[in-house]
Amino acid sequence: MPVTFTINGKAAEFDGPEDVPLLWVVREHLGLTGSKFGCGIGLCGACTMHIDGVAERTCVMPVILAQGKQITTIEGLSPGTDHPVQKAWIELDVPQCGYCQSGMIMAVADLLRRHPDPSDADIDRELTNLCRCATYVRIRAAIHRAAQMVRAAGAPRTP
Amino acid sequence: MVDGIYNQSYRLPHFLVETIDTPLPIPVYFMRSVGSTAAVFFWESFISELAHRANVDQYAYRRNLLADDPLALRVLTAAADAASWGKSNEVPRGIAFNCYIGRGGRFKTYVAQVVELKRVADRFAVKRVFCAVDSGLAVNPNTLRAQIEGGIGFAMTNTLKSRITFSEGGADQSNYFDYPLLTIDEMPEIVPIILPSARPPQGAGEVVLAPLAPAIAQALLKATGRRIDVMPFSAAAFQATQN
Repeated sequence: MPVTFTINGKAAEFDGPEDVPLLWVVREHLGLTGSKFGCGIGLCGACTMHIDGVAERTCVMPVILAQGKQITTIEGLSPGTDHPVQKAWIELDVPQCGYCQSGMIMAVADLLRRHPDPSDADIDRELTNLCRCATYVRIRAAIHRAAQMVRAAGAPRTP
Repeated sequence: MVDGIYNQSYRLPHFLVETIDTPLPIPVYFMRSVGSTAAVFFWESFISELAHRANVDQYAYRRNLLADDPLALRVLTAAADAASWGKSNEVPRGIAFNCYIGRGGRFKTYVAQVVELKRVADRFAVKRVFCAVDSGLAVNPNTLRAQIEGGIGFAMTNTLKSRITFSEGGADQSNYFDYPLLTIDEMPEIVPIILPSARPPQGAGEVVLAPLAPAIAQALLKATGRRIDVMPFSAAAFQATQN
């Protein structure tokens, strides 16, 4: 039986082995290549997507675990690239090579859902995604900026 | 192999650089900052040792050696001033300098860094890095700042991690669990200082890496009394107390 789920608001299905990582299905089968393959063992976070609103590392997640779930990828985080995290990322010119950044943005969107006003200690503890360009200075600044935008806009938005 | 050494900014009356090719069983290729990471770690650590033996302040010792090179002196002074060098002895600091000369003398970028350590429980951590850069006219200072920030993060990984060992015909490390990269909690605060310049734009992508390791080693010598002469530094190098 095919695995069925919703991705970025649209119904999708995958008719193949149940243990194929979700990342492969999303990139190769559904053609959404914003999420990246980095380490393949769930350590770097380049493959981060939201599963029912929670950030997960999908390179190690068998597609069967997505059955019936709502999946959001970087492509579906906001209708016009205007999620506060995306806006802060653009405003502060965070990316360098960019490879980790879609996963980073997805992880940070979830971090802000759990910690709407994160301290530097919260960021240090919670954000374990890796960036080889070491754009960490701007990532930290952009997280604080995004939190500020959310507060200024009133109610926190859920992706 | 001797990048950053053979073409000196320091005023040295007697100076000879020799290098030999060492056959390696491991294929090697360029990495960011090319030869300067290893060469300048050796070279600036050597200068630190001379200053230490002469019992002269590290900044003053380098100022004297750079007295004939106004551009070099300017970046060194800018980094030291930004860090209030000499104003407080409570924070262990290290200072290092490098003039990065592009292959074939195509460009000349001057870099000076001051590293500050912070004691956290029984360990020292790199807390803040002041980095002055003269890379000629900065066409896009925002991008140059990004290169300073990211380059120092890359150099942090080179200095503290990036250990590759070999056995049975291959590298022992295979992924991030045994070859960790720098994480956000380990990233120091960076204070970039971009010096105004009328020189044409020079290189900026790799230039800030080399001075970091010798500056950290110098600060650790001050903090722990131990000299470090091997990269990457061991975790024990950052222990506050002698074991």
